[in-house]
Amino acid sequence: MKIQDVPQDPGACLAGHEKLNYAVGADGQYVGVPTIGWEVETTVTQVSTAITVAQITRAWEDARAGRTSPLGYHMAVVQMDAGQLANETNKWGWQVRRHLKPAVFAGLSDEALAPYADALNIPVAKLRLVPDAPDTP
Amino acid sequence: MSSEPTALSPGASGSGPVQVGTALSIDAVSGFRHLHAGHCESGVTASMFQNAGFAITEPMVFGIGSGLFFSHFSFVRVMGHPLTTFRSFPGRIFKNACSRLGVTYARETFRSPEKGMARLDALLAEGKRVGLQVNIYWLPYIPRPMRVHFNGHNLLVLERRGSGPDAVYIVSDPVMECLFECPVDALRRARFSGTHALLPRGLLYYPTGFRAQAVDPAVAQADLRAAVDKSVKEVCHHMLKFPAVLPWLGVRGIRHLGREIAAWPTRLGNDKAREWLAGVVRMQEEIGTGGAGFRFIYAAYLQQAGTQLSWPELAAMSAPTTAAGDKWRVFALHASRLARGKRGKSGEDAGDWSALQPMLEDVADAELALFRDLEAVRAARPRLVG
Repeated sequence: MKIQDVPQDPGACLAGHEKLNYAVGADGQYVGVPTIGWEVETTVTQVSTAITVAQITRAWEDARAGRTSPLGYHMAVVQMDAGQLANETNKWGWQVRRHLKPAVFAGLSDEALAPYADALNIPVAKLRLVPDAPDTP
Repeated sequence: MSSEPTALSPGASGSGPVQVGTALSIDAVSGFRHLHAGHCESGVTASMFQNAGFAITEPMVFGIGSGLFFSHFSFVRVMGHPLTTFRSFPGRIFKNACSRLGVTYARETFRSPEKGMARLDALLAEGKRVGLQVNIYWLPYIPRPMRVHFNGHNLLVLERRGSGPDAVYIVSDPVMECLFECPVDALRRARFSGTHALLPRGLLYYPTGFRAQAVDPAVAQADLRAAVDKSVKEVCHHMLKFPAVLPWLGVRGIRHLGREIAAWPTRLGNDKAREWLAGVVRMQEEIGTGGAGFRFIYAAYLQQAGTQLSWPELAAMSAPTTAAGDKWRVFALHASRLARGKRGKSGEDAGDWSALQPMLEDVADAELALFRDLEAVRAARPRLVG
């Protein structure tokens, strides 16, 4: 890749920051060239982000409709599944999946919710609620 | 939680005012020069070396660390995607570069986050700059679309400012162009919260001593000759010499990826196939590879090493490496359009998808020839002149 071919495509992906590519100058020598982004990267990031957004939105709808507990929504926001969350909280997967049931979740004490709140980086009070709109990237 | 990440302005120091999003701050910490690099681990290592007075570029660190590789594991899942990687195992670049250049180092992991954070603070108090392996998801200064649970990110911590819960670490993340503040809690999570393979366990690392390279040019030249020889040998070996029963590794892995991609639409359906294809391109370009899945940074290495060692045959191998990288870029461009999927005319997608495998076969042919030639150049072993 030559210096003049280093893409400088504005896009949301780098949020105004720059990354570094390596490219060949007119004298044939390699140099580092800062770039604000490449359309290709923006495209594939958008594809991946759209999937994340869809997952969070689905989890939000399920939690709002009472099909899962709020834990299911907050877990999706930080892009974890039940297995990961179990790993983070030193629980078994079945324990976390059981707490995804609204009826079981409603009976949990603050102490029981504390490990989840810590792993998800939110206060316990917030963990009990599902917001009016999903928090998506 | 409410604290937004802030970029330091060039003049910021102590508890002075910080500006958000200021892009120039390579000297925000006195006595430290931020290195903006193509890749995180080679960037952290080069930055440590440079700031200790050992003048070496990022491509030289990447190359001597034998960072270049390829593998595609169709049966390993990372974040729901098969694992595709264009580089060696995390940690290899730092360890290889140190041992081959005669730099001694320490690497420490921790069972308890408290001990890990206390150790980091103690090292910073000694004036050391400490490399960390972290889960990139919890770093607040990383643009949100790029925040995924990936445990193999590397950064350099320069100092701790303030105390208690409001304290921040000043971090030099080489894939970003400026320094950042990172709250204590966020850094603790990034070090200790990881749920997939490659758990960082609070891994921290730093060089402990430099042999004579920095002061004696003759020693440096001899060391460099041996280091380059070893590193090129390892990369060629990894790309070419794994037996056929391991089809996921090296040049063979590129052909394996081609076959897999060709089968994805029928095996997974179009939506999932596009998602996975986007994942491959992200690993190649977006995560910070210097372009073309590290092929350009490696081409820069061959050129710089060849020049420094007065070894024109080695420097000449830079051009075919660039050519292989250019083929990867063409693949990425084509793949990204297929991954997006929408703007093409209907019916166009299925036809175009079949072009991906021949493209990867083409890349594999180019890399097969490249690494055979490179190994031949290395094995010819010209005597070091001067």
